[in-house]
Amino acid sequence: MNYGSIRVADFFVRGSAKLNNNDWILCPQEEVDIIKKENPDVNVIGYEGENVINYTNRFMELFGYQTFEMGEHGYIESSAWGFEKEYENELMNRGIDINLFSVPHSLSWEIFIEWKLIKIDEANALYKLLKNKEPEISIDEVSKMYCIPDIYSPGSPTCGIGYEDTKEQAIEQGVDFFKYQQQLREELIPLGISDLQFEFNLFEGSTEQVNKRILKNIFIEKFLGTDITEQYEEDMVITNIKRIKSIKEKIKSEKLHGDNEAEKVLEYAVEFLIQDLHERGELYKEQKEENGIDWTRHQQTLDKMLLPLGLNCKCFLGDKYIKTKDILQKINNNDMIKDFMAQNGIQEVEGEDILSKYIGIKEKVNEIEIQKTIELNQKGIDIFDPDMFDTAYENCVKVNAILTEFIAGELTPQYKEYIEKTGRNWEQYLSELKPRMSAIGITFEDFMQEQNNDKLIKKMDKFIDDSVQHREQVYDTNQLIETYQNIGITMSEADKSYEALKESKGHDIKNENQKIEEL
Amino acid sequence: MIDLTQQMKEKIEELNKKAGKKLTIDELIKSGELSNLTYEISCNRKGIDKYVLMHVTDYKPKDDKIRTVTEKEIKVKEETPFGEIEYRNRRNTTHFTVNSTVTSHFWGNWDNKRYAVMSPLKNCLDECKNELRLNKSSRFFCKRIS
Repeated sequence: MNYGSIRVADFFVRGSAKLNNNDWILCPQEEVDIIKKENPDVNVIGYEGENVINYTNRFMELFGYQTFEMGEHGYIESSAWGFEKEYENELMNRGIDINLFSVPHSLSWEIFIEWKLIKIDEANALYKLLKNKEPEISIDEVSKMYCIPDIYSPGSPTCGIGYEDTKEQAIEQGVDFFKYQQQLREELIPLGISDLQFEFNLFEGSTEQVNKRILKNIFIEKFLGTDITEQYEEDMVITNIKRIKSIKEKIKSEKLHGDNEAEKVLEYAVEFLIQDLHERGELYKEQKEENGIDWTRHQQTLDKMLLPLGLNCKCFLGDKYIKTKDILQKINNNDMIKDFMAQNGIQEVEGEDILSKYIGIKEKVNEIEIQKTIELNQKGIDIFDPDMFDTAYENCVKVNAILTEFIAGELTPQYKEYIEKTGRNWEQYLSELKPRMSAIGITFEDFMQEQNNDKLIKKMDKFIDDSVQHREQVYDTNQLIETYQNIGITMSEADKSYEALKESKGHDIKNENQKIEEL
Repeated sequence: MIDLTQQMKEKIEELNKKAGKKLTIDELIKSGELSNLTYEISCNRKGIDKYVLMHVTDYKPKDDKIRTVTEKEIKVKEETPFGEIEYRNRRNTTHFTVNSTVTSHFWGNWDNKRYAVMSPLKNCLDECKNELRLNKSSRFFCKRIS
């Protein structure tokens, strides 16, 4: 037996209690024989009826023991207090440290572990139920769920101690606490919670965080068929990066983007996994270094994996990952851009910075738009004539406008902060991007002011509405010039930019312009 | 004291033999045959022999052991908005009261239990003696590594 507490109201031992021939069992009379058979070393006496409580004190008294009435925390009668004091003295004389073994069960490290395990089991049971539940449960339904067990909290209202107190108490009592810690860790694996998340979140984090984690694990497994407990690598960061990739791939390959539920899940999943990387942060780095891993080299490996996702190792180690999340969502959620890219054979460029990637796409879209303008002109079609309405051209203009808006959205002081946080020099970064932006008709300086961004986005919205959706309003060249002016460039600047871009792509501008003139 | 307790055991066996059956606790008390011995024992209970542990439960002790609910693999059932879930009870401790019977309170009801186990405190202390000695020495070590 293994002492937990020696308190009179709640004396407890860890694990089972071994009985011997000095012990007595009181049981219903009809069960005496069977109880004796099952406990051959122990003495057995029967009682009449169903309830043993009425006999227990008389049973002790029969054997010459003094008995007292017990309350929730100790003896009720004041006459018993002297008896209790004698009891404690007796134990102290036998070398038992009363202070060390007088912690009520409700405040003991044992109940801390017990409640953690119960809540993990409860979460596991619910997790399995939701994963297999028929008919299908919608995400909204699950997210409203109030019964997700709270495995972060110390356990119950009776369990008022935290992790550090628990650990200290157990070690003081000479208990191998790390064994219990390991048990909790292993029990969490089926929930997709393991490794550093355990140290970082289970004991110190908030309830909300773990509940979100469980819910999102359910979402990911249930709706995307991705096994969250699947271990790609021993390293959880690499595992999670691979999960993000596989979820993105799944969405792409199975064309789930039309499915609202799947879109929502992707959003949750990506946000969740990025958050996970972010939470690990410095702790992950420390762990690697403690294990003798060269962090600089490891970081390079991670960066290679993270860049296609618009992330960077330094970014998740820092305090902010603000923009990256939004950027990923924009990429993943914009059907029009995705469709347009697919239809026109535009490939995503892996490994590029997110803004460069947008600009790269916009350059290609611009090119297609110019090409389409030339084709329509060659066919004698007036692009502003509602009778000659061309959907492909409309889509191209619209995608172009959306991309302009996106790029404008990214060019904020926060984006500058993000670039610097990812270890790059902002000025150098700009010097590379500016000519490309100019070539696609985006004036850089305006976008660096957030208030101007809002203004610009509104203008771009109007531009899309006016020029594309409401074709009854016929535009003339002057109106187009005005529109470009509103977004900060002149028509001739736009033309020059297009020409510069086309030339950079190997087009013979003079020849093309001549053809347009002839037409 | 051991002799007196042994005498009590023998006396009960004798009474059972005389009655031709195993007498219940009520019958033993009402017979009045044990009262003198009870008085003698109570007068002689001194030191650690004065203390006894009492455990009440719904579950049968087995193999000379009071098993914990975890060891008995007792399940907890819970209704959720999505159906019933079932999971293990993880209480892996055995609880007693000293010279008294546990009373029901907010966190538990002991009003209708079927079994009681009475164990002299001395037994338990003897059982734990080696371990306590170990704890005292290992405590220093654990503190150092923590």
